[in-house]
Amino acid sequence: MTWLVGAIAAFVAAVLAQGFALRFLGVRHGIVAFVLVGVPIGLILVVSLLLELSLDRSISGVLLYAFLCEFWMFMLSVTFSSVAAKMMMHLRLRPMSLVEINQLFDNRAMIQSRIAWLADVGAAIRHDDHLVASGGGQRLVKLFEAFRSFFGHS
Amino acid sequence: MPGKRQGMYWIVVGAYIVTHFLLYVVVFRRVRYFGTERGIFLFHLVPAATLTLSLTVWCGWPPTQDGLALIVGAAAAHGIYSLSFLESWALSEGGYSLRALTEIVRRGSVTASELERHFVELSAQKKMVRMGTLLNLQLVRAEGDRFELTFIGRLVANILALIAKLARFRAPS
Repeated sequence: MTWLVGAIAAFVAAVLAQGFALRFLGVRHGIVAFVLVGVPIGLILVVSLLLELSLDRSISGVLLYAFLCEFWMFMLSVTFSSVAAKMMMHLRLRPMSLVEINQLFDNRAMIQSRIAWLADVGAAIRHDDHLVASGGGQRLVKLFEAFRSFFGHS
Repeated sequence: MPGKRQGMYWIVVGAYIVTHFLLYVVVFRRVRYFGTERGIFLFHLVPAATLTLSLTVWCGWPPTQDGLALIVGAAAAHGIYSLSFLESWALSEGGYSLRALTEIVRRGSVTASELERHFVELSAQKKMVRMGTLLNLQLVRAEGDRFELTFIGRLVANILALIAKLARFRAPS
Protein backbone atom coordinates (compact mmCIF):
# COMPACT_ATOMS: atom_id res chain seq x y z
CA MET A 1 0.00 0.00 0.00
CA THR A 2 3.07 2.29 -0.08
CA TRP A 3 1.99 3.73 -3.45
CA LEU A 4 -1.50 4.61 -2.08
CA VAL A 5 -0.30 6.09 1.21
CA GLY A 6 2.57 7.86 -0.59
CA ALA A 7 0.26 9.52 -3.14
CA ILE A 8 -2.25 10.68 -0.50
CA ALA A 9 0.51 11.89 1.85
CA ALA A 10 2.17 13.81 -1.01
CA PHE A 11 -1.16 15.47 -1.86
CA VAL A 12 -1.80 16.47 1.78
CA ALA A 13 1.76 17.83 1.96
CA ALA A 14 1.14 19.88 -1.22
CA VAL A 15 -2.07 21.40 0.23
CA LEU A 16 -0.30 22.30 3.48
CA ALA A 17 2.68 23.72 1.58
CA GLN A 18 0.29 25.79 -0.53
CA GLY A 19 -1.12 27.35 2.65
CA PHE A 20 2.43 28.08 3.80
CA ALA A 21 3.34 29.69 0.46
CA LEU A 22 0.23 31.89 0.56
CA ARG A 23 0.75 33.02 4.15
CA PHE A 24 4.49 33.36 4.45
CA LEU A 25 6.09 33.53 0.97
CA GLY A 26 3.93 36.30 -0.47
CA VAL A 27 2.40 34.25 -3.31
CA ARG A 28 -0.96 35.89 -4.10
CA HIS A 29 -2.85 33.34 -6.19
CA GLY A 30 -4.02 30.07 -4.64
CA ILE A 31 -3.63 28.04 -7.84
CA VAL A 32 -0.18 29.49 -8.63
CA ALA A 33 0.92 28.67 -5.07
CA PHE A 34 -0.35 25.13 -5.42
CA VAL A 35 1.44 24.57 -8.75
CA LEU A 36 4.68 26.00 -7.30
CA VAL A 37 4.70 23.48 -4.46
CA GLY A 38 2.79 20.62 -6.13
CA VAL A 39 5.23 20.11 -9.03
CA PRO A 40 8.39 19.55 -6.92
CA ILE A 41 6.46 17.36 -4.46
CA GLY A 42 5.13 15.35 -7.41
CA LEU A 43 8.65 14.89 -8.80
CA ILE A 44 9.88 13.65 -5.42
CA LEU A 45 6.94 11.21 -5.35
CA VAL A 46 7.76 9.90 -8.87
CA VAL A 47 11.42 9.27 -8.02
CA SER A 48 10.59 7.69 -4.63
CA LEU A 49 7.98 5.33 -6.08
CA LEU A 50 10.17 4.25 -9.02
CA LEU A 51 13.10 3.53 -6.70
CA GLU A 52 11.01 1.51 -4.25
CA LEU A 53 8.18 -0.16 -6.15
CA SER A 54 7.21 -1.94 -9.38
CA LEU A 55 6.27 0.09 -12.47
CA ASP A 56 2.56 -0.78 -12.12
CA ARG A 57 2.27 0.47 -8.55
CA SER A 58 4.41 3.53 -9.30
CA ILE A 59 2.14 4.51 -12.21
CA SER A 60 -0.92 4.09 -9.98
CA GLY A 61 0.58 6.28 -7.26
CA VAL A 62 1.50 9.02 -9.72
CA LEU A 63 -1.92 8.93 -11.44
CA LEU A 64 -3.70 9.15 -8.09
CA TYR A 65 -1.55 12.11 -7.02
CA ALA A 66 -2.16 13.86 -10.37
CA PHE A 67 -5.91 13.30 -10.12
CA LEU A 68 -6.10 14.59 -6.53
CA CYS A 69 -4.11 17.68 -7.54
CA GLU A 70 -6.34 18.38 -10.54
CA PHE A 71 -9.48 17.92 -8.46
CA TRP A 72 -8.10 20.26 -5.80
CA MET A 73 -7.32 22.96 -8.39
CA PHE A 74 -10.81 22.52 -9.84
CA MET A 75 -12.32 23.03 -6.36
CA LEU A 76 -10.11 26.08 -5.82
CA SER A 77 -11.31 27.68 -9.06
CA VAL A 78 -14.94 26.84 -8.23
CA THR A 79 -14.60 28.39 -4.76
CA PHE A 80 -12.81 31.42 -6.14
CA SER A 81 -14.91 32.23 -9.19
CA SER A 82 -18.27 30.43 -9.16
CA VAL A 83 -21.32 32.62 -8.48
CA ALA A 84 -23.25 29.57 -7.22
CA ALA A 85 -20.45 28.66 -4.78
CA LYS A 86 -20.37 32.22 -3.42
CA MET A 87 -24.15 32.23 -3.02
CA MET A 88 -23.93 29.01 -1.02
CA MET A 89 -21.19 30.38 1.23
CA HIS A 90 -23.38 33.42 1.99
CA LEU A 91 -26.47 31.28 2.58
CA ARG A 92 -24.38 29.20 4.99
CA LEU A 93 -24.37 32.19 7.33
CA ARG A 94 -28.14 32.86 7.21
CA PRO A 95 -31.20 32.48 4.95
CA MET A 96 -31.61 35.37 2.53
CA SER A 97 -34.33 36.93 0.40
CA LEU A 98 -33.89 37.55 -3.32
CA VAL A 99 -33.54 41.27 -2.59
CA GLU A 100 -30.64 40.59 -0.19
CA ILE A 101 -28.98 38.25 -2.71
CA ASN A 102 -29.30 40.92 -5.39
CA GLN A 103 -27.70 43.46 -3.07
CA LEU A 104 -24.81 41.10 -2.30
CA PHE A 105 -24.27 40.17 -5.95
CA ASP A 106 -24.61 43.57 -7.56
CA ASN A 107 -24.75 43.18 -11.36
CA ARG A 108 -22.20 45.92 -11.94
CA ALA A 109 -19.85 44.67 -9.20
CA MET A 110 -19.88 41.17 -10.75
CA ILE A 111 -18.50 42.41 -14.07
CA GLN A 112 -16.14 44.86 -12.32
CA SER A 113 -14.52 41.99 -10.40
CA ARG A 114 -14.03 40.06 -13.66
CA ILE A 115 -12.46 43.09 -15.36
CA ALA A 116 -10.14 43.52 -12.36
CA TRP A 117 -9.22 39.82 -12.57
CA LEU A 118 -8.51 40.00 -16.32
CA ALA A 119 -6.19 42.97 -15.69
CA ASP A 120 -4.63 41.23 -12.68
CA VAL A 121 -3.66 38.10 -14.65
CA GLY A 122 -2.43 40.15 -17.61
CA ALA A 123 -5.09 39.11 -20.13
CA ALA A 124 -6.29 42.74 -20.43
CA ILE A 125 -4.25 45.92 -20.13
CA ARG A 126 -5.55 49.29 -18.94
CA HIS A 127 -4.59 52.30 -21.10
CA ASP A 128 -5.93 55.45 -19.39
CA ASP A 129 -9.59 54.55 -18.96
CA HIS A 130 -9.60 52.02 -21.81
CA LEU A 131 -9.07 48.26 -21.77
CA VAL A 132 -7.25 46.38 -24.52
CA ALA A 133 -6.45 42.68 -24.76
CA SER A 134 -2.82 41.67 -24.30
CA GLY A 135 -1.16 39.19 -26.70
CA GLY A 136 -1.81 36.41 -24.20
CA GLY A 137 -5.45 37.52 -23.85
CA GLN A 138 -5.93 37.41 -27.64
CA ARG A 139 -4.42 33.92 -27.82
CA LEU A 140 -6.69 32.80 -24.98
CA VAL A 141 -9.78 34.05 -26.84
CA LYS A 142 -8.67 32.25 -30.03
CA LEU A 143 -8.10 29.04 -28.08
CA PHE A 144 -11.54 29.16 -26.48
CA GLU A 145 -13.23 30.06 -29.75
CA ALA A 146 -11.67 26.86 -31.12
CA PHE A 147 -12.99 25.00 -28.06
CA ARG A 148 -16.48 26.49 -28.52
CA SER A 149 -16.47 25.38 -32.13
CA PHE A 150 -15.17 21.91 -31.22
CA PHE A 151 -17.79 21.38 -28.50
CA GLY A 152 -20.54 22.82 -30.70
CA HIS A 153 -21.52 25.64 -28.31
CA SER A 154 -23.55 28.25 -30.16
CA MET B 1 -4.81 -10.89 -13.25
CA PRO B 2 -2.43 -7.92 -13.14
CA GLY B 3 1.12 -8.25 -11.93
CA LYS B 4 3.18 -10.10 -14.52
CA ARG B 5 3.11 -8.00 -17.69
CA GLN B 6 3.95 -4.65 -16.16
CA GLY B 7 2.86 -1.66 -18.20
CA MET B 8 0.65 -3.74 -20.51
CA TYR B 9 -2.52 -2.95 -18.56
CA TRP B 10 -1.85 0.78 -18.74
CA ILE B 11 -1.78 0.57 -22.52
CA VAL B 12 -5.25 -1.02 -22.41
CA VAL B 13 -6.56 1.68 -20.03
CA GLY B 14 -5.02 4.37 -22.27
CA ALA B 15 -6.64 2.82 -25.34
CA TYR B 16 -10.03 2.80 -23.57
CA ILE B 17 -9.73 6.54 -22.85
CA VAL B 18 -8.51 7.39 -26.36
CA THR B 19 -11.41 5.37 -27.85
CA HIS B 20 -13.87 7.28 -25.64
CA PHE B 21 -12.49 10.60 -26.88
CA LEU B 22 -12.52 9.51 -30.54
CA LEU B 23 -16.13 8.35 -30.19
CA TYR B 24 -17.01 11.84 -28.95
CA VAL B 25 -15.14 13.48 -31.85
CA VAL B 26 -16.61 11.26 -34.56
CA VAL B 27 -20.13 10.52 -33.28
CA PHE B 28 -21.39 11.99 -30.01
CA ARG B 29 -20.51 15.66 -30.40
CA ARG B 30 -23.03 15.79 -33.24
CA VAL B 31 -25.80 14.41 -31.01
CA ARG B 32 -27.84 17.23 -29.45
CA TYR B 33 -28.28 15.49 -26.07
CA PHE B 34 -24.51 15.46 -25.50
CA GLY B 35 -24.45 19.23 -25.91
CA THR B 36 -26.34 19.58 -22.61
CA GLU B 37 -24.71 19.67 -19.15
CA ARG B 38 -26.52 16.51 -18.07
CA GLY B 39 -25.71 14.66 -21.31
CA ILE B 40 -21.99 15.43 -21.32
CA PHE B 41 -21.70 14.65 -17.60
CA LEU B 42 -23.31 11.22 -18.08
CA PHE B 43 -21.15 10.65 -21.18
CA HIS B 44 -18.17 10.70 -18.81
CA LEU B 45 -19.66 9.28 -15.63
CA VAL B 46 -21.04 6.06 -17.17
CA PRO B 47 -17.81 4.92 -18.93
CA ALA B 48 -15.70 5.83 -15.85
CA ALA B 49 -17.97 3.77 -13.59
CA THR B 50 -18.04 0.93 -16.17
CA LEU B 51 -14.23 0.84 -16.36
CA THR B 52 -13.83 0.83 -12.57
CA LEU B 53 -16.49 -1.84 -11.99
CA SER B 54 -15.20 -4.05 -14.83
CA LEU B 55 -11.68 -3.97 -13.43
CA THR B 56 -12.97 -4.69 -9.92
CA VAL B 57 -14.86 -7.77 -11.18
CA TRP B 58 -11.88 -8.89 -13.29
CA CYS B 59 -9.41 -8.55 -10.40
CA GLY B 60 -11.73 -10.36 -7.97
CA TRP B 61 -12.71 -9.25 -4.45
CA PRO B 62 -10.78 -8.52 -2.33
CA PRO B 63 -8.21 -7.43 -4.95
CA THR B 64 -4.50 -8.16 -4.61
CA GLN B 65 -2.06 -5.28 -4.15
CA ASP B 66 -1.45 -5.14 -7.92
CA GLY B 67 -5.17 -5.45 -8.63
CA LEU B 68 -5.98 -2.54 -6.32
CA ALA B 69 -3.20 -0.49 -7.92
CA LEU B 70 -4.72 -1.13 -11.36
CA ILE B 71 -8.29 -0.26 -10.25
CA VAL B 72 -7.29 2.97 -8.47
CA GLY B 73 -4.83 3.98 -11.21
CA ALA B 74 -7.35 3.41 -14.01
CA ALA B 75 -10.07 5.34 -12.15
CA ALA B 76 -7.59 8.19 -11.53
CA ALA B 77 -6.54 8.23 -15.21
CA HIS B 78 -10.18 8.44 -16.32
CA GLY B 79 -10.77 11.11 -13.66
CA ILE B 80 -7.89 13.25 -15.00
CA TYR B 81 -9.19 12.94 -18.57
CA SER B 82 -12.86 13.54 -17.68
CA LEU B 83 -12.20 16.48 -15.39
CA SER B 84 -10.00 18.17 -18.03
CA PHE B 85 -12.60 17.53 -20.71
CA LEU B 86 -15.57 18.76 -18.63
CA GLU B 87 -13.73 21.85 -17.41
CA SER B 88 -12.87 22.82 -21.00
CA TRP B 89 -16.46 22.11 -22.06
CA ALA B 90 -17.99 24.21 -19.27
CA LEU B 91 -15.51 27.06 -19.55
CA SER B 92 -15.96 27.41 -23.31
CA GLU B 93 -19.74 27.23 -22.90
CA GLY B 94 -20.30 29.89 -20.29
CA GLY B 95 -17.09 31.33 -18.84
CA TYR B 96 -17.98 34.85 -17.74
CA SER B 97 -14.44 36.25 -17.74
CA LEU B 98 -13.77 34.76 -21.17
CA ARG B 99 -16.91 36.37 -22.54
CA ALA B 100 -15.74 39.73 -21.21
CA LEU B 101 -12.27 39.17 -22.71
CA THR B 102 -13.83 38.16 -26.05
CA GLU B 103 -15.80 41.42 -26.05
CA ILE B 104 -12.59 43.41 -25.41
CA VAL B 105 -10.88 41.62 -28.33
CA ARG B 106 -13.94 42.13 -30.59
CA ARG B 107 -14.07 45.88 -29.92
CA GLY B 108 -10.28 46.39 -29.87
CA SER B 109 -10.49 49.00 -27.13
CA VAL B 110 -13.30 49.56 -24.65
CA THR B 111 -13.85 51.53 -21.44
CA ALA B 112 -14.69 49.66 -18.25
CA SER B 113 -18.05 51.43 -18.02
CA GLU B 114 -18.98 50.40 -21.61
CA LEU B 115 -18.14 46.81 -20.73
CA GLU B 116 -20.15 47.05 -17.50
CA ARG B 117 -23.20 48.31 -19.42
CA HIS B 118 -22.82 45.49 -21.93
CA PHE B 119 -22.64 42.78 -19.27
CA VAL B 120 -25.00 44.08 -16.61
CA GLU B 121 -27.94 42.14 -18.08
CA LEU B 122 -25.84 38.97 -18.37
CA SER B 123 -24.85 39.31 -14.68
CA ALA B 124 -28.52 39.45 -13.69
CA GLN B 125 -29.34 36.42 -15.86
CA LYS B 126 -26.36 34.48 -14.53
CA LYS B 127 -27.48 34.99 -10.92
CA MET B 128 -30.98 33.72 -11.68
CA VAL B 129 -29.70 30.73 -13.66
CA ARG B 130 -27.31 29.78 -10.84
CA MET B 131 -30.03 30.08 -8.18
CA GLY B 132 -32.29 27.93 -10.38
CA THR B 133 -29.52 25.31 -10.63
CA LEU B 134 -29.03 25.27 -6.84
CA LEU B 135 -32.80 24.82 -6.37
CA ASN B 136 -32.93 22.04 -9.00
CA LEU B 137 -30.02 20.22 -7.40
CA GLN B 138 -31.81 20.59 -4.03
CA LEU B 139 -28.82 22.31 -2.47
CA VAL B 140 -31.04 25.31 -1.69
CA ARG B 141 -34.78 25.50 -0.90
CA ALA B 142 -37.22 28.40 -0.80
CA GLU B 143 -38.96 29.02 2.54
CA GLY B 144 -41.52 31.78 2.05
CA ASP B 145 -39.64 34.70 0.48
CA ARG B 146 -36.26 33.49 1.71
CA PHE B 147 -33.73 30.97 0.42
CA GLU B 148 -31.89 28.59 2.72
CA LEU B 149 -29.47 25.67 2.36
CA THR B 150 -30.69 22.09 2.54
CA PHE B 151 -28.73 19.54 4.61
CA ILE B 152 -26.64 18.52 1.56
CA GLY B 153 -26.28 22.17 0.57
CA ARG B 154 -24.92 23.03 4.02
CA LEU B 155 -22.44 20.16 3.74
CA VAL B 156 -21.22 21.40 0.34
CA ALA B 157 -21.09 25.03 1.58
CA ASN B 158 -19.00 23.97 4.60
CA ILE B 159 -16.55 22.15 2.30
CA LEU B 160 -16.31 25.25 0.06
CA ALA B 161 -15.73 27.48 3.10
CA LEU B 162 -12.99 25.13 4.33
CA ILE B 163 -11.28 25.23 0.92
CA ALA B 164 -11.55 29.03 0.91
CA LYS B 165 -9.95 29.13 4.36
CA LEU B 166 -7.14 26.74 3.41
CA ALA B 167 -6.41 28.63 0.20
CA ARG B 168 -6.85 31.98 1.88
CA PHE B 169 -9.65 33.23 -0.34
CA ARG B 170 -11.95 35.74 1.28
CA ALA B 171 -14.96 33.63 2.20
CA PRO B 172 -18.02 35.47 3.53
CA SER B 173 -17.89 35.89 7.31
